[in-house]
Formats: sequence, structure tokens, C-alpha cells
Amino acid sequence: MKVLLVLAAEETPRLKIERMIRFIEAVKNPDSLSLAAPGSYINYYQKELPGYQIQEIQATTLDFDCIVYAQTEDGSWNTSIRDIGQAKVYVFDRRRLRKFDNTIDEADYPHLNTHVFNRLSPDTDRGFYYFPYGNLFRDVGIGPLDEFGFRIDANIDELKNRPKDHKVIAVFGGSAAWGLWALHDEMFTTQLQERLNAYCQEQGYRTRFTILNYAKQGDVVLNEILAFNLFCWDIHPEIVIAHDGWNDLGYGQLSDSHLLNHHQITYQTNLEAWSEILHQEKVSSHTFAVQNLSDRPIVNFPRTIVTAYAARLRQFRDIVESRKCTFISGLQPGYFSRPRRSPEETAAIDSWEPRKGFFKNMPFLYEKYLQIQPSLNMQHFVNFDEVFRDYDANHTLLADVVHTTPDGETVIAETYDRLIRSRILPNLLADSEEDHHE
Amino acid sequence: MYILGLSFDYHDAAAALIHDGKVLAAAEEERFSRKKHDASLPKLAAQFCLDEAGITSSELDRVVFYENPFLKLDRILHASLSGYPKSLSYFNTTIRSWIRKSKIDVRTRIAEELGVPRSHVTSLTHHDTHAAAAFFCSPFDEATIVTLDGVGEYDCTTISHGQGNGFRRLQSVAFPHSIGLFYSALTAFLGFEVNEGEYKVMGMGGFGKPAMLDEFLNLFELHENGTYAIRQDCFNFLCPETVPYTPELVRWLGPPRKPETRLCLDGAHTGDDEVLDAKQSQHYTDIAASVQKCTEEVILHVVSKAVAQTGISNVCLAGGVALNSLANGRIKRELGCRLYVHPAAGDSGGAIGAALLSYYKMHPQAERKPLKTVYLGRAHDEAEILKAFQESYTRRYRKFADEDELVRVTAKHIADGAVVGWHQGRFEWGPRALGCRSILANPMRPDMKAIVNEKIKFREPFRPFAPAVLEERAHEFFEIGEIDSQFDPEYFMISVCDVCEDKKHLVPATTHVDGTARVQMVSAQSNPLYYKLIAAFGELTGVPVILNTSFNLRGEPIVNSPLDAIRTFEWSDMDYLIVGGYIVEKELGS
Repeated sequence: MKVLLVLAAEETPRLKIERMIRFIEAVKNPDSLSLAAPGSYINYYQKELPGYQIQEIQATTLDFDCIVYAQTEDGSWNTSIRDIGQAKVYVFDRRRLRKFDNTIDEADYPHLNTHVFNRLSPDTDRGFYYFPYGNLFRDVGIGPLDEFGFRIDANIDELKNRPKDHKVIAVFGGSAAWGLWALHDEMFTTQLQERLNAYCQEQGYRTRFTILNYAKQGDVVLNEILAFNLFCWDIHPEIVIAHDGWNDLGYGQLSDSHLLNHHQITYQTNLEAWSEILHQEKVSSHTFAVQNLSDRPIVNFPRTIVTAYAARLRQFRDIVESRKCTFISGLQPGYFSRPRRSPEETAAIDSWEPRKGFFKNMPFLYEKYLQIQPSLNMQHFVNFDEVFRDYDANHTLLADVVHTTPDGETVIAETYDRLIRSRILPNLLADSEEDHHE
Repeated sequence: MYILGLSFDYHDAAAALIHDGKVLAAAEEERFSRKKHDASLPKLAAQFCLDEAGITSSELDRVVFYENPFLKLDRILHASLSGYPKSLSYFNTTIRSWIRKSKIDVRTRIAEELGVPRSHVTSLTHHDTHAAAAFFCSPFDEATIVTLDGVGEYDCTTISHGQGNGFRRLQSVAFPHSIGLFYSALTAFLGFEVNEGEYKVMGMGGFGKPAMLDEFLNLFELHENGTYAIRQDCFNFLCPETVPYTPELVRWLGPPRKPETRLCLDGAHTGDDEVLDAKQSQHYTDIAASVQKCTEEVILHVVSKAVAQTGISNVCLAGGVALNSLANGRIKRELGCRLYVHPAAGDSGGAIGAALLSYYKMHPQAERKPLKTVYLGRAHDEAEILKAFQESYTRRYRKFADEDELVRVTAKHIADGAVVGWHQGRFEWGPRALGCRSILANPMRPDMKAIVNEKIKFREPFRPFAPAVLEERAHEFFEIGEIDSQFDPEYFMISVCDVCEDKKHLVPATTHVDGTARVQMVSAQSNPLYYKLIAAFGELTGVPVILNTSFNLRGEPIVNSPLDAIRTFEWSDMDYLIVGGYIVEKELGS
């Protein structure tokens, strides 16, 4: 595949360009990558990227399979290439390679026709799609996604029949655990897998780990339980990590009061759109995008939001432990976990307006949850709110109010690595001689 | 004769209903809409007023708007023309807003929205309605009336002579020479929101020294007739686009304080936001102190010269600047005036002023009816309280056996260090919570200020809290000077005085860093239940003073309904909520 990266008509810093190139290489795996820039910026880019040849954008036919436009700071891009030939066009929007016209094919997402609910869904590149058991999610252009939207690139059937020294860790959570700002190899799940395997190798153990990321954007613990039962039951992972908190405490503020107060049901508020699509005449769209929730009224109170989260988490723990798996509860960090921020982190957090809507209540809800957390008697609990506070302003760990940067992912991976090595791995190694698979 | 007064279209929209010159009901729209400083046509507040009187809009004899939109637009056009071409963007934005919101044809809007004939709708002028609110609600037959605010149509400050059922304008200061806009510009410079953060500047100033007072005063030219002019090179009052000050001010004072950056006060700081070092903090607090002191000097100048012109030492104040409680304290102490400040001195007060001015113009011989209470808002009965419990799934509540138990138990909780939400009767008119929508706590605990600021209200740690004290014991604790009547500003928490030196240690949580307090004297007549509560607290502790702050969270309007109260209670670390005859306890510990 021949890829052309069209640099923006502004002085994009080298680090940002290198990030784009890394994205293109990771997602598109090109045979060749060419760079082009508007004529007036050629000199700048040639100085900034001495190792690269930068050509001026040609207004004639170009022989590329894929053209990627770099987005400027204000969100625009240069589209002066009039005849793109057969090339597919993408925009790098700071977080992913977005298809220019939003429609995708199997080259972009191989699972478009894997099952009926993918087949029936529109061929668009980001959003939630109907699935009777939760929802399907698609956010292509950041790395491999399986047929449900999980960032899993492993042979699940093989794992179901793995040898006893091959351990599986299944991770559940929302978009932060999914790794919104991370390439596949930057996700904390991938980093954790590498760390644990490197450690085992160093120590001469035969044990190795595969980590499966069953997190999905917007998931609350109820979704995690569903995902565990649907997709993970037969894999019988040795360890389950529930890396969550933000969505249950956030969506808990907005969920239907009857459902929350009587049945402790917290749900991704977007799900209400399905009911509209199914039952109401006036429907604006047949899919739903990721919504801006800052204007939705906050209808619930801390006591029910927090106790609903705690109850679901305990339920998930009980289900997981009934399968003789070790359960780790990780309370994810939020913007308030970074009292000392780097300038980049401050700008990124502020751009999401943390004092608006349900975001503003998150520190209070975290505080309330942490007050009752000890009563859950979790054997393994990691408070990432506390972990992230220990890092000073020389670190940029958050890319917005809740999602982590690749460096933040590293901190999470290191923390789980330490916990697993010190408190769980010894038991796993002892059990390795005894086949406990059903 | 029913007259409805309305103020809206800038900030703090409000409605007030009078009947034959008596104020029946008055409320800001934000209490109902739950949008802080809601500026929209106050339909909800107007409906509340009608409901309170048991009438419909068809029974209104007149609806009066608090200012003249034609004159206001004229001022905007003139300012834009004088600033052209730099003012083009301001002009475009402002005119678009006027067209989009039909601000010019306010009579038609009111008529259509409230369902009254257009012929019943009229308008007065901004500073006249301020002056009317101050004078007609006061106990004085004759008074010197001073109005001070940002800007009305053209006026920014006025001096009038009030007598009987009318007043006569003596002086005015025209835009852009505005003490209100001066204070707001420095409020913005100090990192606070204009029309919201002015109190914060006052609180912040307590930590600084007025080291730049002379330089600030040099911006002013004070005239013998009580008027003044402000040098304009540091300010952009005419056509402000982003901030109301110019680069010249930044050249003089350095960079503005970034919003939300924490100040390092007394060598310590708290919170999660970016923190300024001690030197930077001192710089900004010194600016705040200097701006405050300068403002006080200008106000004292205006009032003293006004009194000299009228020969009347009864002074009535209104306009947003009249909420400057430090200045009010000095007017009483240093000028020896009998002072009345309208409790809703800002633009919302224009609603009452408009209604009263309209009435007395039509009835010049009618008997005056001073405003004896600020409890002019909505009350909620037991059924509404129980409905709120049901809607909020509140379970841990119980009803007190009687009022004595309510008072005894609440006082005990406060004495024991609990923070209590207090929701009783009709809510207050104006920005101050005066014991009907209040958060109450023990002022004797030194840590209580930090607890209430940071754990309950989530606001800046430097902001002080007011003490509410039994009127007959106020002199034991506060240097309040002579009290003339129950119309004095000390009854409305709009005047600052020193705390008695030998009592400061008893009320540390309500004593500001500079040794002052913004007192509310409470009488058995004005608010019997609140009075009983403070008395019961006094019996338990020996200190008849309670920490009182408005019942709201940062950035939200003060609560109106029981459901609002429950919501605020739940989303903070308050320990108990007393709503009507009920007590609610927290289900999650704090």
C-alpha cells in the first residue's frame, strides 16, 4: 500500500508529525509513505523533518492507495488535491485516522459482515450499532477491532484450549480501558502483557500471559458483566480486571431514576436512543453517535449512584470469583486525579470543560465511593485516583478529562504489573501444575 | 391596583407585584429557572407573583419594565460609532443579540408572554427605578438617594432628593464614567466573572494591603458636586469585546490572574487547581484591597457631597454597587448617616422600583408602605415537601414533634459541628440568604470556614462567611455602632463592621482575616423561627451567633423548592437538612 501524508498548512511540530506517521504505520502498514505539504510550508517541514523528503502538493493525479490529510489545530485540512484517483482519503484528527466521508469497507474494518448485526448496520466508521445484548461499537482508524468493537487481536478459540502455563487476563471497562488515545501497542493492556511476559522470561518461568481487552466505549459494570458472560465465560481467564468507575458514576447521574433507585440499573444514556429508533415516529438517525451529554439534566443523587456502582461491582466480582478467577477492581483516574498538571494536560483537560455538566460532580462521587469502597471487601483494589496524584507536572498522563495518554497507559500497566507480580502471580505459578480448566 | 414590575434582558431578571403600593411578592427568575443570573423575561417569577396574590394576568392594571430600551440602544449605537472601526465586532454582536431577542420591542414581548394588553405595558428608566426601590421601600419621608451601578441607559451614578412620594434628580454621572464598571473591570482582571465575582474581590481584598490605593485614586477626578470622572486609558467600557480593560492596565498591573488559579494565603493553599506562589498571591490580593478601598473612597465622596447638597442625612442606596457592604459600613460610621440599602440593590431590585415608581406617579398622595420584610418569595407546604421526598427517593427523614423540638435538635446538631441546610417559609428577596434558604454552621469552630467553603459550597477558600446574631446581643460581639431601626443594613447583611476584639476568638469562622464581619441582626419579629434557633444555639454555647451562608452550591442559584434543597443537600457534605418541620439525614456518610 502506498500512502501519502498531506501535512497541514501550518507549522506542525515534529513530535506531532512523528505521531501521525506512527499512526499510519501502525494502522495502515504501508509499503511506502510519502509526505507532501503546501508550497509555502515546504521549507519549514524540510527543516523540521530532515530525514524525510517533502514534496509540494501536486494538483494532478497521484498514484496512491491512501491519502491522509493532517488536521490543523483549528480542525481544518488542506484538500487542494483535486484528482485523487483511486485513493481512499482519511483525515488524521489528533486521535485516529478518520475516513474522510465516514463510510468504510472491509479493508477498513474486516468484520463488517461477520455477523448479522454488523451486516444490518450502516457502513460508517464510528458510533454505536444495535446488538441485542448491549451494543456494538466501531471506532476504526486506531488499530484492530474485533467483530463487537473490542480491541482484541487474538485467536479466542485457541485460548479456550490453552495449556496450563498460558494465563489469560481479561480486562473490562469503558473507553479509558479501551484506550481512546492509544495505539494498540500503547494500550495498558498490551503494555501489561509485555511486562508480565518479560518478567516471567527473566525469572525463567514457562508461564506466559495473554491479555484480552474487553473494554468498550461507554461500558458500565452491567455491560462488563454481560461481556464477561457472553464472550469470556469459556475462556476462563485466570484474572479479571475491572478498570472502571467513571462511566458508572457519570452515567449514574443521568440514568432513569426509577431504574437506578429500584433496580440499581445504570446504563449508557445513549441507549435511550434505541428505544426512540424502535418505537417512535420521529427519528433523526438510525444509529447513534457518541453524544455530548453535558446538557443533560442530572436527575439522581450521590447515594444511589455510588451504591449502584458498588453493588454491580460486587456482583461482577462474585460472578468472576465463582469461576475461580482472581478479580481486580481498578478505580480509573479522572481530571481531579491530576492536581499538578503539565501545560499540555491542562489545555487538554480544559478543552473538555470539566466544570460543566456531570463532569463537575465526579470528584464528589469518587470521594463518596472511596468512603464505602472498603465495605466491598475487594481482595485486590487499585485506586488510580491516588496513583495519578503522585505524578508531578512534568508528566502528561491525561489526554482529556478521563482518557489517558500513552504515558498514562504506561503508569496503569506498571501499577497492575506490580500488583499482579507481588500478590497474584505466586499463586498462579503454584497452580500451573494443576489443570483447572473445565 | 395591581402593578407588576419587571427587570430583565441584562442579568438577574426579576418580577415584583404590588397592590396599592404594598409589595406582595418579589423574586428573581433564577430561583425558578435554576439558571444563575438568568436574564430572560421572568415568566416563572411573574407567574409566582400572580399566584401569590391569587390573581391572573388579566387582573393586572399595569406592567412596568425597569428601563428604557430605546435609550439603551441609543447609548450602544453612540458608543459603537465613537469606537469605529475597532468597535465593529462589538457592534455586530450586540446588535445581533438585540434583534434576535427583540430587545427593542420589549412592550410587545411582555404583552405576548404574559397575556396582557400592550397598552398596559410601560417602561421607566433604569436609575429612576433603582432610586424608587431604595427610597419607597425605606422608612424615610425625606432622603438623599444615591444610585450606583455599571450603567443604565446612560447614567452610571445619580444623586436625587426624595421627599414624600417622589424624588428629584440633582446630579448624574454619565457613561462611561462608572464606578460599577471600574469595579467589574478589575473583577475580570482578578480572574473572576463580571456580575458574579465582585463579592470575591471584596473577600480577597481582606488578605491584601491597599498598597496601590493612590494610583487607583489617580484614575478618578472627584468633583465638588459629588460626581466624578474616570481616566479611560486603562479601560474599554464603551465597546468591550473580551475584557473591559486595555493593554494599558496590563502594562501597569502586570498579567491578569488566570481564572481558578488558587491563591497561596497565609503560606498555605488547598485544592486541585494551579496555585500561585506567595508573591503573586500578595500582588493580586493587594490589587483587590486597593480597588476595594478606592471604590469605598469614591462612594464616600459621592454620598458625602450628595448629603451636603440636600442637607438630608437619611441616605437611600441602590444599584449593584450598593451591595458593597464594606462601603456601606463606612457610610454609616464615617458620615454618620441613617442608611437604607435596598436588599436587592442590583438590577433585580429594579422590578420593585418600577412598580412602586409607577404607582406613586399615579397616586402622589397615597400612603407610603416601607418594605418591612425581605421574605417575599415562594413558600412550600408539607405536601410539597413530602412529594419532594418521594421524587428524590429520600428515605431517612422524620417529622419533628413540634417547633420546640425542631429548634432544640437543630441547635444541638449545629453546636456539635454539623452543617445544616435550612429551608423554611418564603425565600428571600435579593442575593442574601437571611435565614429561610440558608446553610448554617457553628461559627465557634476555627475549621468551619474551610469545611463549608471547600466541602459544602466548593468555593474559594478565601471567601468569608457571615454571622447571624440576635439583635439584642449584637453589640456584645460586633462594633455595629448605632442602630436606628429594623431597616438598617445590618438587618439585611449588607454592611460590614469590625468584630469586637475580645470576641474574635469566639466566632473565628465568621471573622474575616481583616477582623471584620458582614453581620445579620435577627429580630423575633422579622423571622421568629430563625431567631429561636439562634437563641437556642446561644443557650447551648453561650454564643448567640450562627454561621449563615446562602443555600446553594458554587455557580448555582439559591434553592427555591424542597426538591432543590434536597438536591443541594445530597450533592454536598452537609450533614442534615431541615425542611419545614422535617429533618433529613445523610444516607452516605460525609
